[in-house]
Amino acid sequence: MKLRGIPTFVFAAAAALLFFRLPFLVFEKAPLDYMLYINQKIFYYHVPAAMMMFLAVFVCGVASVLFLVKRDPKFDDVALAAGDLVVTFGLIVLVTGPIWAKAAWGVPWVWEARLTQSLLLWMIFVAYALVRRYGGAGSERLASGLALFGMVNVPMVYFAVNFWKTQHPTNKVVPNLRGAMLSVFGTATLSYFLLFLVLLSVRLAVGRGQRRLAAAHDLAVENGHLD
Amino acid sequence: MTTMRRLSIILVLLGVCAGVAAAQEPPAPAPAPAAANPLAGVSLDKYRLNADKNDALQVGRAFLDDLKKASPDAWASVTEAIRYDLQTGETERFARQKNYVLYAYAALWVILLVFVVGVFARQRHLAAELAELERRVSVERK
Repeated sequence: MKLRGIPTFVFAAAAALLFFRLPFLVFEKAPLDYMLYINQKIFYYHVPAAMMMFLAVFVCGVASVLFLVKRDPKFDDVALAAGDLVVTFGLIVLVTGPIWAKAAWGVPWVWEARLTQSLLLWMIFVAYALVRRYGGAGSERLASGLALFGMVNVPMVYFAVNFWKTQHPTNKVVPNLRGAMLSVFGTATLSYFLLFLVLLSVRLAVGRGQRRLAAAHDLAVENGHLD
Repeated sequence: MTTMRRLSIILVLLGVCAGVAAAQEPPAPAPAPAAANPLAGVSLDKYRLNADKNDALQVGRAFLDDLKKASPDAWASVTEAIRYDLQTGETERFARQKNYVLYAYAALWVILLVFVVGVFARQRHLAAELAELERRVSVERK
Protein backbone atom coordinates (compact mmCIF):
# COMPACT_ATOMS: atom_id res chain seq x y z
CA MET A 1 0.00 0.00 0.00
CA LYS A 2 1.25 3.45 -0.88
CA LEU A 3 0.14 7.03 -0.32
CA ARG A 4 1.32 9.19 -3.20
CA GLY A 5 4.28 6.88 -3.77
CA ILE A 6 5.32 6.69 -0.11
CA PRO A 7 4.69 3.34 1.60
CA THR A 8 1.86 3.53 4.14
CA PHE A 9 4.06 2.09 6.88
CA VAL A 10 6.18 5.27 6.79
CA PHE A 11 3.09 7.29 7.70
CA ALA A 12 2.11 4.63 10.23
CA ALA A 13 5.54 4.78 11.88
CA ALA A 14 5.44 8.59 12.02
CA ALA A 15 1.92 8.52 13.48
CA ALA A 16 2.96 5.91 16.06
CA LEU A 17 5.98 7.99 17.12
CA LEU A 18 3.89 11.13 17.48
CA PHE A 19 1.10 9.34 19.37
CA PHE A 20 3.72 7.88 21.70
CA ARG A 21 5.12 11.37 22.35
CA LEU A 22 1.75 13.09 22.58
CA PRO A 23 0.73 12.12 26.18
CA PHE A 24 4.05 13.52 27.47
CA LEU A 25 3.46 16.77 25.62
CA VAL A 26 -0.17 17.02 26.73
CA PHE A 27 0.50 16.28 30.40
CA GLU A 28 3.99 17.74 30.81
CA LYS A 29 4.49 20.55 28.30
CA ALA A 30 1.03 22.06 27.82
CA PRO A 31 0.20 24.34 30.76
CA LEU A 32 -2.90 23.91 32.89
CA ASP A 33 -5.86 25.95 31.73
CA TYR A 34 -6.83 28.71 34.19
CA MET A 35 -10.59 28.06 33.94
CA LEU A 36 -11.01 24.41 32.99
CA TYR A 37 -7.99 23.06 34.86
CA ILE A 38 -6.85 19.50 34.05
CA ASN A 39 -10.03 18.48 32.19
CA GLN A 40 -8.90 20.82 29.39
CA LYS A 41 -6.34 18.12 28.48
CA ILE A 42 -9.20 16.23 26.76
CA PHE A 43 -9.21 19.11 24.25
CA TYR A 44 -5.98 17.77 22.67
CA TYR A 45 -7.78 14.52 21.73
CA HIS A 46 -11.35 15.71 21.23
CA VAL A 47 -10.83 18.65 18.86
CA PRO A 48 -8.36 16.96 16.43
CA ALA A 49 -10.76 13.99 16.26
CA ALA A 50 -13.56 16.41 15.32
CA MET A 51 -11.31 17.97 12.66
CA MET A 52 -10.56 14.55 11.19
CA MET A 53 -14.27 13.74 11.24
CA PHE A 54 -14.95 16.89 9.17
CA LEU A 55 -12.07 16.03 6.84
CA ALA A 56 -13.44 12.51 6.35
CA VAL A 57 -16.90 13.94 5.63
CA PHE A 58 -15.44 16.21 2.94
CA VAL A 59 -13.40 13.38 1.39
CA CYS A 60 -16.49 11.17 1.37
CA GLY A 61 -18.71 13.95 -0.02
CA VAL A 62 -16.32 15.03 -2.78
CA ALA A 63 -15.60 11.41 -3.79
CA SER A 64 -19.36 10.78 -3.90
CA VAL A 65 -19.90 13.77 -6.19
CA LEU A 66 -17.12 12.55 -8.49
CA PHE A 67 -18.61 9.06 -8.46
CA LEU A 68 -22.06 10.40 -9.36
CA VAL A 69 -20.61 12.51 -12.18
CA LYS A 70 -18.00 10.13 -13.64
CA ARG A 71 -19.39 6.75 -12.51
CA ASP A 72 -15.83 5.61 -11.84
CA PRO A 73 -15.82 2.98 -9.04
CA LYS A 74 -12.44 4.15 -7.72
CA PHE A 75 -14.18 7.28 -6.35
CA ASP A 76 -16.79 5.07 -4.74
CA ASP A 77 -14.02 3.09 -2.99
CA VAL A 78 -12.59 6.34 -1.58
CA ALA A 79 -16.06 7.47 -0.44
CA LEU A 80 -16.71 4.14 1.27
CA ALA A 81 -13.36 4.22 3.11
CA ALA A 82 -13.85 7.84 4.18
CA GLY A 83 -17.42 7.06 5.31
CA ASP A 84 -16.09 4.46 7.74
CA LEU A 85 -13.60 7.02 9.08
CA VAL A 86 -16.42 9.52 9.69
CA VAL A 87 -18.14 6.91 11.86
CA THR A 88 -14.91 6.09 13.72
CA PHE A 89 -13.69 9.64 14.37
CA GLY A 90 -17.27 10.75 15.03
CA LEU A 91 -17.60 8.09 17.68
CA ILE A 92 -14.38 9.34 19.31
CA VAL A 93 -15.83 12.88 19.32
CA LEU A 94 -19.17 11.72 20.71
CA VAL A 95 -17.56 9.66 23.49
CA THR A 96 -14.76 12.01 24.58
CA GLY A 97 -17.08 15.05 24.35
CA PRO A 98 -19.59 13.87 26.96
CA ILE A 99 -16.75 12.71 29.24
CA TRP A 100 -15.31 16.23 29.03
CA ALA A 101 -18.76 17.77 29.47
CA LYS A 102 -19.31 15.71 32.63
CA ALA A 103 -16.02 17.02 34.03
CA ALA A 104 -16.52 20.66 32.95
CA TRP A 105 -20.31 21.18 33.02
CA GLY A 106 -21.37 18.49 35.49
CA VAL A 107 -23.62 16.80 32.91
CA PRO A 108 -22.52 14.59 30.01
CA TRP A 109 -25.00 15.85 27.45
CA VAL A 110 -27.23 18.85 26.79
CA TRP A 111 -29.52 19.07 23.78
CA GLU A 112 -27.97 22.23 22.40
CA ALA A 113 -27.22 23.04 18.75
CA ARG A 114 -23.57 21.97 18.39
CA LEU A 115 -23.97 18.65 20.19
CA THR A 116 -27.25 17.75 18.52
CA GLN A 117 -25.98 18.64 15.05
CA SER A 118 -22.83 16.58 15.62
CA LEU A 119 -24.93 13.58 16.66
CA LEU A 120 -27.09 14.05 13.56
CA LEU A 121 -24.02 14.19 11.31
CA TRP A 122 -22.68 11.00 12.83
CA MET A 123 -26.04 9.27 12.43
CA ILE A 124 -26.17 10.26 8.73
CA PHE A 125 -22.87 8.46 8.19
CA VAL A 126 -23.95 5.46 10.24
CA ALA A 127 -26.91 5.33 7.83
CA TYR A 128 -24.43 5.67 4.94
CA ALA A 129 -22.44 2.67 6.21
CA LEU A 130 -25.62 0.61 6.72
CA VAL A 131 -26.90 1.42 3.22
CA ARG A 132 -23.55 0.42 1.74
CA ARG A 133 -23.46 -2.83 3.67
CA TYR A 134 -27.07 -3.98 3.37
CA GLY A 135 -28.45 -1.89 0.47
CA GLY A 136 -27.59 -4.41 -2.21
CA ALA A 137 -26.88 -3.59 -5.84
CA GLY A 138 -27.29 0.05 -6.81
CA SER A 139 -27.01 1.30 -3.22
CA GLU A 140 -23.81 3.19 -4.14
CA ARG A 141 -25.76 6.05 -5.73
CA LEU A 142 -28.28 6.24 -2.90
CA ALA A 143 -25.39 6.30 -0.38
CA SER A 144 -23.62 8.99 -2.43
CA GLY A 145 -26.68 11.22 -2.04
CA LEU A 146 -26.60 10.57 1.70
CA ALA A 147 -22.90 11.55 1.82
CA LEU A 148 -23.70 14.81 0.03
CA PHE A 149 -26.42 15.52 2.56
CA GLY A 150 -23.88 14.86 5.32
CA MET A 151 -21.31 17.18 3.74
CA VAL A 152 -23.83 20.02 3.60
CA ASN A 153 -24.44 19.47 7.32
CA VAL A 154 -20.79 20.18 8.25
CA PRO A 155 -21.02 24.02 8.09
CA MET A 156 -24.18 23.76 10.18
CA VAL A 157 -22.25 21.84 12.85
CA TYR A 158 -19.27 24.20 12.73
CA PHE A 159 -21.23 27.46 12.83
CA ALA A 160 -23.91 26.19 15.22
CA VAL A 161 -22.07 27.96 18.06
CA ASN A 162 -22.39 31.26 16.17
CA PHE A 163 -26.01 30.87 15.05
CA TRP A 164 -27.47 29.70 18.36
CA LYS A 165 -26.73 30.32 22.00
CA THR A 166 -24.90 27.17 23.03
CA GLN A 167 -23.10 25.80 26.03
CA HIS A 168 -20.31 24.45 23.83
CA PRO A 169 -17.19 26.68 23.55
CA THR A 170 -17.06 28.97 20.51
CA ASN A 171 -14.89 28.54 17.41
CA LYS A 172 -12.45 31.14 18.76
CA VAL A 173 -10.71 28.73 21.14
CA VAL A 174 -8.28 27.24 18.60
CA PRO A 175 -7.32 30.56 16.88
CA ASN A 176 -6.64 32.07 20.33
CA LEU A 177 -4.25 29.32 21.45
CA ARG A 178 -0.78 30.61 22.30
CA GLY A 179 2.65 29.23 23.25
CA ALA A 180 2.96 25.62 24.39
CA MET A 181 -0.78 25.03 24.11
CA LEU A 182 -0.64 25.88 20.41
CA SER A 183 2.42 23.72 19.69
CA VAL A 184 0.98 20.72 21.54
CA PHE A 185 -2.33 21.15 19.75
CA GLY A 186 -0.45 21.33 16.41
CA THR A 187 1.38 18.10 17.22
CA ALA A 188 -1.88 16.42 18.21
CA THR A 189 -3.55 17.51 14.96
CA LEU A 190 -0.58 16.29 12.90
CA SER A 191 -0.69 12.92 14.71
CA TYR A 192 -4.37 12.57 13.96
CA PHE A 193 -3.87 13.61 10.34
CA LEU A 194 -1.18 10.95 9.83
CA LEU A 195 -3.42 8.39 11.50
CA PHE A 196 -6.27 9.49 9.23
CA LEU A 197 -4.10 8.94 6.13
CA VAL A 198 -2.99 5.49 7.34
CA LEU A 199 -6.51 4.33 8.20
CA LEU A 200 -7.88 5.70 4.93
CA SER A 201 -5.17 3.90 2.97
CA VAL A 202 -5.72 0.59 4.77
CA ARG A 203 -9.51 0.76 4.48
CA LEU A 204 -9.22 1.77 0.84
CA ALA A 205 -7.03 -1.27 0.11
CA VAL A 206 -9.65 -3.56 1.65
CA GLY A 207 -12.45 -1.89 -0.35
CA ARG A 208 -10.53 -2.21 -3.60
CA GLY A 209 -9.74 -5.84 -2.78
CA GLN A 210 -13.44 -6.55 -2.26
CA ARG A 211 -14.31 -4.93 -5.58
CA ARG A 212 -11.61 -6.88 -7.45
CA LEU A 213 -12.68 -10.13 -5.84
CA ALA A 214 -16.29 -9.54 -6.88
CA ALA A 215 -15.11 -8.72 -10.42
CA ALA A 216 -12.95 -11.87 -10.53
CA HIS A 217 -15.92 -13.95 -9.35
CA ASP A 218 -18.16 -12.47 -12.07
CA LEU A 219 -15.47 -13.07 -14.70
CA ALA A 220 -15.07 -16.69 -13.62
CA VAL A 221 -18.84 -17.21 -13.91
CA GLU A 222 -18.91 -15.43 -17.26
CA ASN A 223 -16.14 -17.63 -18.68
CA GLY A 224 -17.80 -20.77 -17.45
CA HIS A 225 -15.20 -21.58 -14.80
CA LEU A 226 -17.87 -21.35 -12.09
CA ASP A 227 -21.58 -22.00 -11.88
CA MET B 1 -23.25 -17.95 98.17
CA THR B 2 -22.87 -18.55 94.48
CA THR B 3 -20.21 -16.81 92.46
CA MET B 4 -22.84 -14.99 90.38
CA ARG B 5 -24.47 -13.51 93.50
CA ARG B 6 -21.04 -12.32 94.78
CA LEU B 7 -20.26 -10.68 91.49
CA SER B 8 -23.67 -8.95 91.47
CA ILE B 9 -23.11 -7.53 94.97
CA ILE B 10 -19.63 -6.28 93.97
CA LEU B 11 -21.04 -4.58 90.87
CA VAL B 12 -23.83 -2.91 92.87
CA LEU B 13 -21.28 -1.65 95.44
CA LEU B 14 -19.05 -0.30 92.68
CA GLY B 15 -22.03 1.47 91.16
CA VAL B 16 -22.97 3.04 94.47
CA CYS B 17 -19.36 4.22 95.03
CA ALA B 18 -19.22 5.72 91.55
CA GLY B 19 -22.54 7.52 92.15
CA VAL B 20 -21.35 8.96 95.45
CA ALA B 21 -18.07 10.09 93.87
CA ALA B 22 -19.92 11.75 91.01
CA ALA B 23 -22.25 13.49 93.42
CA GLN B 24 -19.29 14.89 95.37
CA GLU B 25 -17.57 16.33 92.26
CA PRO B 26 -17.99 20.06 91.82
CA PRO B 27 -20.38 20.91 88.99
CA ALA B 28 -18.69 21.52 85.67
CA PRO B 29 -18.11 25.19 85.10
CA ALA B 30 -20.52 26.81 82.70
CA PRO B 31 -18.94 27.34 79.29
CA ALA B 32 -17.34 30.70 78.99
CA PRO B 33 -19.37 33.08 76.87
CA ALA B 34 -18.06 33.14 73.32
CA ALA B 35 -15.64 35.93 72.72
CA ALA B 36 -17.27 38.69 70.81
CA ASN B 37 -16.33 38.68 67.13
CA PRO B 38 -13.89 41.59 66.80
CA LEU B 39 -14.98 42.11 63.21
CA ALA B 40 -18.66 42.26 64.13
CA GLY B 41 -18.83 46.00 64.41
CA VAL B 42 -16.31 46.85 61.75
CA SER B 43 -17.63 48.15 58.47
CA LEU B 44 -16.45 45.90 55.61
CA ASP B 45 -18.32 47.79 52.89
CA LYS B 46 -15.03 48.87 51.40
CA TYR B 47 -14.26 45.23 50.54
CA ARG B 48 -17.61 44.38 48.99
CA LEU B 49 -17.55 43.37 45.32
CA ASN B 50 -18.97 45.99 43.02
CA ALA B 51 -18.99 44.50 39.53
CA ASP B 52 -18.98 47.97 37.92
CA LYS B 53 -15.91 49.24 39.77
CA ASN B 54 -13.73 46.30 40.71
CA ASP B 55 -13.37 42.55 40.69
CA ALA B 56 -13.18 39.96 43.45
CA LEU B 57 -9.41 39.70 43.16
CA GLN B 58 -8.93 43.45 43.69
CA VAL B 59 -11.16 43.75 46.75
CA GLY B 60 -9.77 40.54 48.23
CA ARG B 61 -6.23 41.81 47.87
CA ALA B 62 -7.17 45.21 49.32
CA PHE B 63 -8.63 43.45 52.38
CA LEU B 64 -5.52 41.31 52.86
CA ASP B 65 -3.23 44.34 52.45
CA ASP B 66 -5.16 46.29 55.07
CA LEU B 67 -5.20 43.28 57.37
CA LYS B 68 -1.44 42.86 56.99
CA LYS B 69 -0.87 46.49 57.94
CA ALA B 70 -3.19 46.22 60.94
CA SER B 71 -1.96 42.83 62.17
CA PRO B 72 0.75 40.83 60.37
CA ASP B 73 0.03 37.81 62.60
CA ALA B 74 -3.68 37.79 61.75
CA TRP B 75 -2.81 38.19 58.06
CA ALA B 76 -0.41 35.23 58.24
CA SER B 77 -3.08 33.04 59.86
CA VAL B 78 -5.75 34.03 57.35
CA THR B 79 -3.54 33.43 54.31
CA GLU B 80 -2.43 30.08 55.75
CA ALA B 81 -6.06 29.02 56.22
CA ILE B 82 -6.92 30.13 52.67
CA ARG B 83 -3.88 28.32 51.28
CA TYR B 84 -4.84 25.10 53.06
CA ASP B 85 -8.48 25.24 51.93
CA LEU B 86 -7.50 26.01 48.37
CA GLN B 87 -4.92 23.27 48.28
CA THR B 88 -7.33 20.70 49.66
CA GLY B 89 -10.05 21.70 47.20
CA GLU B 90 -7.68 21.73 44.24
CA THR B 91 -6.22 18.33 45.14
CA GLU B 92 -9.69 16.78 45.24
CA ARG B 93 -10.66 18.50 41.99
CA PHE B 94 -7.43 17.35 40.31
CA ALA B 95 -7.92 13.73 41.36
CA ARG B 96 -11.56 13.72 40.20
CA GLN B 97 -10.88 15.39 36.84
CA LYS B 98 -7.78 13.29 36.16
CA ASN B 99 -10.05 10.24 36.02
CA TYR B 100 -12.20 11.86 33.32
CA VAL B 101 -9.10 12.63 31.25
CA LEU B 102 -7.98 9.00 31.55
CA TYR B 103 -11.47 7.71 30.60
CA ALA B 104 -11.46 9.89 27.46
CA TYR B 105 -7.96 8.73 26.54
CA ALA B 106 -8.89 5.08 27.05
CA ALA B 107 -12.09 5.50 24.99
CA LEU B 108 -10.08 6.98 22.12
CA TRP B 109 -7.77 3.96 21.94
CA VAL B 110 -10.54 1.38 22.37
CA ILE B 111 -12.48 2.91 19.43
CA LEU B 112 -9.39 3.04 17.21
CA LEU B 113 -8.46 -0.52 18.17
CA VAL B 114 -11.95 -1.77 17.29
CA PHE B 115 -11.71 -0.06 13.89
CA VAL B 116 -8.26 -1.50 13.15
CA VAL B 117 -9.29 -5.01 14.27
CA GLY B 118 -12.41 -4.70 12.07
CA VAL B 119 -10.32 -3.73 9.02
CA PHE B 120 -7.91 -6.62 9.58
CA ALA B 121 -10.82 -9.04 10.04
CA ARG B 122 -12.22 -7.87 6.68
CA GLN B 123 -8.78 -8.28 5.13
CA ARG B 124 -8.53 -11.87 6.40
CA HIS B 125 -12.06 -12.61 5.23
CA LEU B 126 -11.16 -11.24 1.82
CA ALA B 127 -8.03 -13.43 1.61
CA ALA B 128 -10.09 -16.48 2.56
CA GLU B 129 -12.68 -15.66 -0.11
CA LEU B 130 -9.94 -15.22 -2.70
CA ALA B 131 -8.41 -18.60 -1.81
CA GLU B 132 -11.86 -20.22 -2.05
CA LEU B 133 -12.45 -18.63 -5.46
CA GLU B 134 -9.08 -19.86 -6.74
CA ARG B 135 -9.82 -23.37 -5.45
CA ARG B 136 -13.25 -23.46 -7.08
CA VAL B 137 -11.92 -22.16 -10.40
CA SER B 138 -9.11 -24.74 -10.44
CA VAL B 139 -11.56 -27.55 -9.59
CA GLU B 140 -13.93 -26.43 -12.37
CA ARG B 141 -11.06 -26.29 -14.89
CA LYS B 142 -10.05 -29.87 -14.14
